[in-house]
Amino acid sequence: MTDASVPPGTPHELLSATRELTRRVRTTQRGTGFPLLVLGAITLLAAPFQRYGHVVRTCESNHPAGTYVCSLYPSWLFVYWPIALTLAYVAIAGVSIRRSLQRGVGTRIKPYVIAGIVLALALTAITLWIAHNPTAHQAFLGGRRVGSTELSTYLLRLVSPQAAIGLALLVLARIERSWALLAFALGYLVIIVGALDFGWVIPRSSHWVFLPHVIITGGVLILGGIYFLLAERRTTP
Amino acid sequence: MSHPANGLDDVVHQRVRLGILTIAHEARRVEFGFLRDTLDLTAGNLGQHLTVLEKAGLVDIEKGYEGKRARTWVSLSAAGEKALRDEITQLKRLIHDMERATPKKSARQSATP
Repeated sequence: MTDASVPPGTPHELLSATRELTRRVRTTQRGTGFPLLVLGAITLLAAPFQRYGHVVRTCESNHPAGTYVCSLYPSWLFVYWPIALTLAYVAIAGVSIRRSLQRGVGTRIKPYVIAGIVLALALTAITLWIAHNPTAHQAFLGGRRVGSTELSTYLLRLVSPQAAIGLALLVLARIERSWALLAFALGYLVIIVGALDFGWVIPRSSHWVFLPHVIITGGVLILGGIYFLLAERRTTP
Repeated sequence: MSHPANGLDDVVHQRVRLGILTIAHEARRVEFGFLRDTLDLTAGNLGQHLTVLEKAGLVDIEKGYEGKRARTWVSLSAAGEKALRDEITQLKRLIHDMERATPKKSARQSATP
């Protein structure tokens, strides 16, 4: 039976009407642009903290090898990221609730905001622990923990505040039932995990060696935000 | 097994009321104006349907103000969630039964000399 042959009021028509209404509500509820813009902005703002922040050096004795293993990390980042991400998610929740009141439909932002804050705090804590335990870090990086050097490198890159942003975006994609956002979040995570620099490399001797990665990840978020904002304007009734 | 049509609730099995329940389910909380515009109804007509649903205990209606503007928010009750789920299940069963019956009927017709 084709849709055209369904007379008004049949089960077919009622079901397809409910599907259409569901689609319209979901379209009205969507609000991906603003979160991506905010998260992109805080990613870019992290650069001065990374460049000018106090650098902490932690050294540990590596007993079997009889050597010392040290790690260097900009300590301000461990303060910046949890605060910046928490404030960002609070702002995202506030804007989402305001838009929900304006549009007249409820919002499903709560699980995303909770997941975002929990992931940000958890992954920052793990990053901090890794930085304070250079021997454990080295053992992991050497592949002795997971059996593969490449896999352990990828896993370590997943333990970062930027990766927390991507993982939380997967939650948002699920809530908004958005394939476009799912594809975007996966692409973003590939850039994080693969440490893709698209050929833009600054010499390791420079203090700005980290800059391409920050600008690429922040830029991707901002461009994604602009795209989703424009898409939302086109589709919102 | 009873015919799926027997399982349809008269309160829910109505185009507008099914629409209200569907929107309220998806939106969790929906404002009167959004319902009116989306379902293309007059305020009076929508109000009547909401009264029926509220009396049946399927929706909760909350009236308040946003600034100076009066606003009415509608949300689905637990009974409303169940009623909507049951209605969708029955509709799917009806479609399934209809689609199963249709080929048999056409096969019988083609076998008739």
